[in-house]
Amino acid sequence: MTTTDIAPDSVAVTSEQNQTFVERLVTNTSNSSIGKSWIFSGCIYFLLSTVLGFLLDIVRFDSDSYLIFSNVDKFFQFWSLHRTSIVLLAVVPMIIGLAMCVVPPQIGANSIIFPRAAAFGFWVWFLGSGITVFGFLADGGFGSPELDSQREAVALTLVGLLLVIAGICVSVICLLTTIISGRCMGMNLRRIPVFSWTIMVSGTLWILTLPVLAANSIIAYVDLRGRSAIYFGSEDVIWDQISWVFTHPQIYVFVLPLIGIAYDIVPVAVKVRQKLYNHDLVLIFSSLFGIIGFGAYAQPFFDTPGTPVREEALYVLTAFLAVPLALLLFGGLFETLRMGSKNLTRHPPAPLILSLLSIFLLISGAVVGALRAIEPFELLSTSSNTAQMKLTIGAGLVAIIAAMLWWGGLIVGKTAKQGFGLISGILITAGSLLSGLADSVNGFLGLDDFTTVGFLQEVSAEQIVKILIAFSFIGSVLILGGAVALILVELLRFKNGPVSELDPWEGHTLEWTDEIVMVESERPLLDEVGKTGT
Amino acid sequence: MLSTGFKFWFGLCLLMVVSAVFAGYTTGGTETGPISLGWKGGVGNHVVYTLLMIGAGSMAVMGIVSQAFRDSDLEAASELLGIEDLPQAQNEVGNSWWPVFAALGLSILAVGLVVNSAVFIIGIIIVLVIGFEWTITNWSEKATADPRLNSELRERLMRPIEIPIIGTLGIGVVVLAVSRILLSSSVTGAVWVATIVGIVIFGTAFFISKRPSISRGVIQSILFLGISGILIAGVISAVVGERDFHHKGSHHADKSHVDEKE
Amino acid sequence: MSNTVLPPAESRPRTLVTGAVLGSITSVMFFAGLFAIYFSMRADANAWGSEWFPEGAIQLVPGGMNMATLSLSVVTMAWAVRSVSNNDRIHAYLALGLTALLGVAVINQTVFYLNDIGLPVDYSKATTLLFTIVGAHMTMLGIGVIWNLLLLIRAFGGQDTRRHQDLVSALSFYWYAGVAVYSIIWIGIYIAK
Repeated sequence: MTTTDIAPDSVAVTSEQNQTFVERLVTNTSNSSIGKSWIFSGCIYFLLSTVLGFLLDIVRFDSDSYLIFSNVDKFFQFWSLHRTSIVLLAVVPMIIGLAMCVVPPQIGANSIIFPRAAAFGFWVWFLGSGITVFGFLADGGFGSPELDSQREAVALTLVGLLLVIAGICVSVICLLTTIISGRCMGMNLRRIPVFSWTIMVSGTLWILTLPVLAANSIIAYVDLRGRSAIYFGSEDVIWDQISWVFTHPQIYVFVLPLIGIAYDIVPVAVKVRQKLYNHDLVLIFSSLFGIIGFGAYAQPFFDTPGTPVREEALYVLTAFLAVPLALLLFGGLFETLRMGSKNLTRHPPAPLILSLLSIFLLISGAVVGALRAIEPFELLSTSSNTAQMKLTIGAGLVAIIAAMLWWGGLIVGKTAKQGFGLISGILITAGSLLSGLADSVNGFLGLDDFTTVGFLQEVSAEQIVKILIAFSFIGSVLILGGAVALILVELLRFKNGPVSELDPWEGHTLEWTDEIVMVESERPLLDEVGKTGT
Repeated sequence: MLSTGFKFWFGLCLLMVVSAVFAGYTTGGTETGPISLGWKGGVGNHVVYTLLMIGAGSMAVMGIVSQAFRDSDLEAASELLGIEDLPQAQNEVGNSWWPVFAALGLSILAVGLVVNSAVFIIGIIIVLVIGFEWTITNWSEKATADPRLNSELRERLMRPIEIPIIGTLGIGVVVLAVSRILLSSSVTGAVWVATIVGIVIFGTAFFISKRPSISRGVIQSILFLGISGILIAGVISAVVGERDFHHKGSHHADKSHVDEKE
Repeated sequence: MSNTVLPPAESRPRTLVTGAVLGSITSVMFFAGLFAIYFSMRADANAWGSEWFPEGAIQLVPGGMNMATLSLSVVTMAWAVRSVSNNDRIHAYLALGLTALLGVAVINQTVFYLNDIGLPVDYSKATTLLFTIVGAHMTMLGIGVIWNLLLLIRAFGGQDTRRHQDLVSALSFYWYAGVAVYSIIWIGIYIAK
């Protein structure tokens, strides 16, 4: 015990209640506030990148219309911006936001650990995303095939990307530390809900792989800033060095939490405890799926001549293993669904339908990934690349909508219109499937993924290709419709959504209660129901 | 007994080692290369092998730490602290300006790398200052159990230092941004920009002074928008670069020198 | 006027150490990305029989001296961790100060050495990679030194809590990761060239 001569009543402490809205917005360190900032920013980038994707698909549909981007170089820049933004500025941020809001209460922590660092992570990402987008708009981006971009703007895009990666990594470290060190009594790592587990798996893989992307970017930056770029910083090869992030197998790592979302929703929605597929098995399968997604090694730019990494055994093996693992995970959900089918009404909850659709899209993506790895098909640099990305990222987006409909009440405090949310998810599922299938078939017909200037000539090659591109275009329109519907659903929720109940779904895990509960299994609230019989 | 965390991270480690060795042998590694970390022979594809092996090492460390801490279970923490009433996962922290300012400093540093070394140095200074402030805030929060008293301790220590520094830095950044705008404009354009900006600042100040009841939020929003606008314009101008300067004397001298040679 | 003040509440132990280990892994994987590219490009150059570094450009002595200095810093950092856990403030200050000093010495020597090589960054792929890797490592060490100094400031502020012990342990993990990275630079770049 110590004594001091300072009078506490004379202390002038700035009250948080006196802060203005802007002050509260930028200084808030609560996990729910930071999570909402991530989700809101991710939604905006999602909408913008789907609009951009739609414009890009107009060019695929009618190759002469590339002039809306003024020239082929600009078209390439926006094409690479679309890929970057949908993954690193939309899907990953929305998942981080969900995790910030849901993971601490799920594992019995009062807050995220290192709340200031978590806020710092968000702001670094936010400012970095702005710098990245500005770099693209200033004729930079990741260079261009005809070396027609502004070098300083390219450098700005690269440092923006570094900030984006730094922000994501800092936030992920806060989340992982919370999961590892912030659990309540009785909640050992084996008992944490599957969503928290998949965040731990994917977070681990993000901090293993995203720094490698940072390494690629910094080498390109250093070379670009030299008197003359020797190799890495040459504007026609920068994209080739970082494109591994947006394709198989790395793309799986970004959407891995969808498994956790589905496994947290389905058993509660059908009111059963998993039997055949017990909790441990799901943890093991989701971890294996995660390790398959470690894609930092698959960098074709640094291939040794004669041994392309994407034709090597490890790449092919992981591509094939992804399919049975995705099927096994789907099997677990299907078994749970079968067990609880008697508890389902004629109108099953929207999050249940969307979680199943997201796993179905993931399987489709994995199948396309496996087909791409079969060498005689020669699909690696074709539009099947786009197809796999659309299916896999589509899976992630549908799962995010399901999660927002499921946990949205907890996050925002208001209920969303489930029907509209369902429409949004179904539109994105239909769009991803239509676009993905059309692009897959086009891949077999030899349509190039856009990485070369010659793409535009190839678009107009065959009639059947053009017809399939039309289907792909319709798919993009549906995805755009889904994105708009999602924004509307969330706006309506904010504006006049009814106040949500504490536990509208009769959940099994700790986020659905504000009481102290003994944790003796992975579904503590279900155990309580078993004890009290209510 | 092996903890769940150890099984997970060490499992990842083993899978990565197996994958690295498998990849080594299937991408042209020699007999002993992939199992000797390349010490005796080739490891095949270096990118695959290096990343998987270093990743495996990282996961091994994580696994060992997890086992040593018994997965940081609360039961283990209870034994470590020797208390029954265990602390919450995170002690409550209030709203804080440091995260957003630190992020801003880091962004200025990053942009400075591209556009101007002075901006880069300003970024470094901001990051260092915020790092120091953040440390002092953390220190003061652990000083006593009374948050008000802790806050007072911090204010007494830091206010005499931070107000002059923040003021100087703020003025410096704005002056630098305005100088970039003026240097990238044409000569006439710079005059116009200076005039218009002067009138806008004077007009805004006049407007605010005439309305003493105006809320703090509105004033802050106006200042935020104004300063953001100046900073963004400054960064854009720095990217665009300075206008061409023609020095009359040297140009003339060079020309005469050439004439003489001819 | 005087008032009785209670000591601060306990914090959850080991959160800082866990966070620091995860942060260190992130940093190490960043260097893994750089090393992967370096080793790959060097293997290609060797396979084609082309020159990687010019003869005599990379000397062993400065790299070896840095390795020795950093090895010493591992000892001083372990000393700091041990002193803090034994509640021995004087030795903790001394050990943290010495570690920071050794870190500054390595940065100083590296800057001198990079100037001494006499090759510009954009001389070849090898020099671009060398300057990037060594520069990034200097940044990592610099962050470690600053962290060290901030810890010293906190220590001089009179805090001697478990949280402070965790802070020193957290820093030690980061520092060891930096030394581990340097050992790969030393073996993979300075010795194997």
